Amino acid sequence: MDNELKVWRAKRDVTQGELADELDVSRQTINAIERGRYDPSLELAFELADFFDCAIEDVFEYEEGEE
Amino acid sequence: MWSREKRLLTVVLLVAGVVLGIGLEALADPLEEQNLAWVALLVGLVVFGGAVGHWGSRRFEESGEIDERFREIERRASRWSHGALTVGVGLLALVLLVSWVEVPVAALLWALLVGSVAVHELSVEYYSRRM
Repeated sequence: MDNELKVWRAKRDVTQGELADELDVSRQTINAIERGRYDPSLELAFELADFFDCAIEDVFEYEEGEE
Repeated sequence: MWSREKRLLTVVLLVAGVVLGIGLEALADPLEEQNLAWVALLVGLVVFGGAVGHWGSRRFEESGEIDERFREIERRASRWSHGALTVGVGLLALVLLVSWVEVPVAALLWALLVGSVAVHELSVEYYSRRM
């Protein structure tokens, strides 16, 4: 699953640590999502979209056949 | 995550496991004659280990680092440690059942117990870096 989290974070001028604190996850988790190493749960994906006030598909892009 | 502390803990556990296994094997003969002391020692060790584990997990929970990614890492690591323990105990049982080889059962059981904890910690390290 690809994502534009880094772009959205840069647009809002939010650090990984600040975003992590806001969503009650670790900074490593935000970093792992940005680097495509970890796919967040649906709940966290919605929370991220809510935080940036956009649709979930604006942040995450699912490609069929991906693991 | 407490990478350095975890690595240190893994080494300490491994050394403690080997020392404990050898020590218990050496103590087994004299203590078997005084059954109560033998049982008290084992119960004391298990209770102490449980208390330390409980304290460690409480401390980790309080650190606020536990989130969904960490739980996923823990789940994967548990699969490895559970597998290692099951295979180890299964092999030991097989050797005891079908062969005449004399094996130090107590030492091996302690090694398996501690070894599975070490496998768990190493797996957590591995998945923390990969995920």
